[in-house]
Amino acid sequence: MGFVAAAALDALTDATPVQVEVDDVPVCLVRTGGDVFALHDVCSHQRWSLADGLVIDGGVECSLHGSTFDLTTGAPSSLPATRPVPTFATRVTDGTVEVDVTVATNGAPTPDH
Amino acid sequence: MTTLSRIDAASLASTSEAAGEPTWLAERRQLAARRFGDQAWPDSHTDEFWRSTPFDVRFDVERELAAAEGGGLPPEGVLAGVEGGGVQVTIVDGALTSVVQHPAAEAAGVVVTDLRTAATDHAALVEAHLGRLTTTTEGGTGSDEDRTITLNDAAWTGGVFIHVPAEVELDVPISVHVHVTAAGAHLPRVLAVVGHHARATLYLEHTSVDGVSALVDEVAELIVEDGAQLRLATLQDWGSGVEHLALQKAEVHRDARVLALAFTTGGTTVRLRPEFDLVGPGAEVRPLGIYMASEGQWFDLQPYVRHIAPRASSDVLFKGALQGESRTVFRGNVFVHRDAVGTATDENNRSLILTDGARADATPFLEIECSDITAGHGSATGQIDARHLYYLQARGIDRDTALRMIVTGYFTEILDEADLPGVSDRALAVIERRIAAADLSAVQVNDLNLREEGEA
Amino acid sequence: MLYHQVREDLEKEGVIFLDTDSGLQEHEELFRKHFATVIPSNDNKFAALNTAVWSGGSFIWIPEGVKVDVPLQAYFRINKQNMGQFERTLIIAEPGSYVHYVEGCTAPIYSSDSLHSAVVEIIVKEGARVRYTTIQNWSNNVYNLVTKRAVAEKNATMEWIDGNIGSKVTMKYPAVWLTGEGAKGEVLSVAYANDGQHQDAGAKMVHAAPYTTSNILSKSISKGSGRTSYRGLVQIDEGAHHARSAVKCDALMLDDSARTDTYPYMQIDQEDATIEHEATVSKLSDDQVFYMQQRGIDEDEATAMIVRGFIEPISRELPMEYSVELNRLIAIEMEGAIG
Repeated sequence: MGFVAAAALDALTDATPVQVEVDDVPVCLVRTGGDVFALHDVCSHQRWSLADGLVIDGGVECSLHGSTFDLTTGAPSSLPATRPVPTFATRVTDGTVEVDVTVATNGAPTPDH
Repeated sequence: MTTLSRIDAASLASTSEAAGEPTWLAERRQLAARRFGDQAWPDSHTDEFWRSTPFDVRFDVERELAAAEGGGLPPEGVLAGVEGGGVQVTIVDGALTSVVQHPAAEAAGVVVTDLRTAATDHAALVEAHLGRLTTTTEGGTGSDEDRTITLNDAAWTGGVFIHVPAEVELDVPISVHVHVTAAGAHLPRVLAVVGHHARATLYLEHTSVDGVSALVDEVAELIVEDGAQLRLATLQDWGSGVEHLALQKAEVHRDARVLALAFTTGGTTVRLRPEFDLVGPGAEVRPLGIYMASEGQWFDLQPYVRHIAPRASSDVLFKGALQGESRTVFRGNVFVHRDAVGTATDENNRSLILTDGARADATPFLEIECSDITAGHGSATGQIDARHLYYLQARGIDRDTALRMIVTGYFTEILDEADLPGVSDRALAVIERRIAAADLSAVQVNDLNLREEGEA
Repeated sequence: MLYHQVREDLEKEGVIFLDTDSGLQEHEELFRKHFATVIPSNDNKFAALNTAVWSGGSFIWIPEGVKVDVPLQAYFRINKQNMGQFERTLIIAEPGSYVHYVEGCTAPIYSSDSLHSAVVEIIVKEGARVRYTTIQNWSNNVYNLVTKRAVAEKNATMEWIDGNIGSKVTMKYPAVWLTGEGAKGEVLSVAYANDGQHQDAGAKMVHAAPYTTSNILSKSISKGSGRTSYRGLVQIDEGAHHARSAVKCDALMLDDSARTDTYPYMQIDQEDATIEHEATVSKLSDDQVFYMQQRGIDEDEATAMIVRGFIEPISRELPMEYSVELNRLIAIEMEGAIG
């Protein structure tokens, strides 16, 4: 387990993806109400930042070609992506969002373009 | 000292003046510097020619221009293996450190000298040709849409000027050895003019101290005049840690012939553009390439042939082998202008995947504006065919030796054709060294054909 | 076969074949389950436009194991709409089924709308096979920008037969995502560009599973100031072991002001993939034409014969009435071909 501080909870607006770097791993943070989700920021289809997209239907849409990655499972809703992006465990401690990038909770491989 | 991104016209002007460069040269640098300021670094999402290689990931431009200390002797060059030697030029850390002439070349009036001094001593030729192939002019085929080229146009530090006078048939090779010992950015420049009906052999060798983190942004312009013949070999034998950007562009005139071999095995990232503008009727060009990529290496090789004049011919053949987590990109571009009637062009690329994790991309392009031509290209990627292996094993050769024979044989076709003194031996030695270092037990062969034959 | 007979047979088998608007209304659950899973709304600007304003197109569902013998054509649909500007087609073939859908027709279609942006999504489930044939002959004012993509699951087969004759500009790259083991994808593409036309066509094959195979055959002909471009992608994802792909693109140039381009992209991320690509460009052979003239065949007919021979590997896959029409069109176009 390696939770590392990633962002202040107050700095995250609801349903607005934010890109942060945690231990050299690009992470896309999405806050929905009291929960914060963390996905690997690079789309599994092509090299593009998920944080550039919109949050739709419980997922973040890659703004390049429209595949939407589920915030919980990391799985894409449609082509052109065929593979999920890694999801990471998060927790909030004293108003700070912490992310553990040492293991992908959904077992998905790191996108490699 | 300023980093590459922040190179500015003012500092360039003062450097130029301090070095005593003629006004026309200083002005050209200024023009390039202004253009540089207006451009952005390549973006693989918008620049088609950078589509396969993410510039910002593979190249670090936050480097300072290396101080030209001229320290350190380069390792033995290719000429050591050439009986009778040749003309040896050495460029260390961006500065020309020595030129060792050869009696035969000297007697024939072959000029090999520092580019900066040549700008004054051989002003006519240098002024006429320097930057002509890189700068976009009216109807020209400049390459300065790319900021990495404008950078060199503006700020090249050390360079060499070579002139082989008309009708001189030079048998001894001229070798330019670029060696890197210092970290930072290096901007070497080469300008070679081969006069009409002359014949010459030119080598560009690239080596470095292993582990030195450096970016080398190189431009070589080669003018091959009517009826001339040029054999060119560029060897990327870098140590680890080098990022190499190179434009090596030849303008080939009427009935001139160029054979060019690009041999790429070293460096962390190499992005090479061997380009050929066939501007005279009957010009002929044979671009050959050998590449071997291992763990962590990324080679982006873009031979570009432009058929501008009629009845020219080009035949590109690039072969590579990959192992470990490596990446190669072959981008062969062929453009045939509407006036290039009677063009014959062919292009072939083969990538051999030896082990897991390797990725070989290929995008051979054809842009044809003239119908009265023949054009074709072929590309194949795959593993060693199991049948070749079993054939050798059936003759009592053990697996490891058989694999070595297959990979070496795969490349010797090209080396034999190029037949360049000193280069063939050196290249073969590098190939054998790389195979010897490979984990042959990890090499996988493709038994699909074997299985299908068994089922037939 | 009579129109009513075809419809009766289809209903008996449980096949759904409607225009897309009715498909959404009458089979909403089925429709929503699959809609935009192949081409999401933001896949590209033209898909986005289509997703917002689509109307018309076909909705086809073939039940498990049903093989439809007769090629389905838009003509047979109930509630047939006129050629829409933003057609949206969705075809779902359940496991083990087969259908051949034919879009368009060889007769020139005149349209006052200058932009046609259609989207076609096809889902070929386990062991099923779908063939989608298009002969496009839009009038010369039309910009025809189409997104066509299929998903082929385990042991499924998807075949695109794509004929581009009309329009001012066509940009179309039928694609197959091979997501199931053993899936097969094929694209046969014929493009003909005359004065002022640009056919920018090709194919995309994405191998996302093991033991998948793809085949692309592209034949293009350019005449006058016409321009044909082949643009293709073969992508082998990591994990798609034992993938095989072969691409052949041939371009024929009929006269001097024509232009042809070939832009193939191969991205191979799996070590044991076997990938081949070959392209040729040639012009009409004077010798061949002369040979035929010697045997009493006039120039125009000789040219037409050579062109027909050039595209034969593809035209023979077309339904009879289409290949007859295509050959006739070629004969017309070739009149006065040799200037």
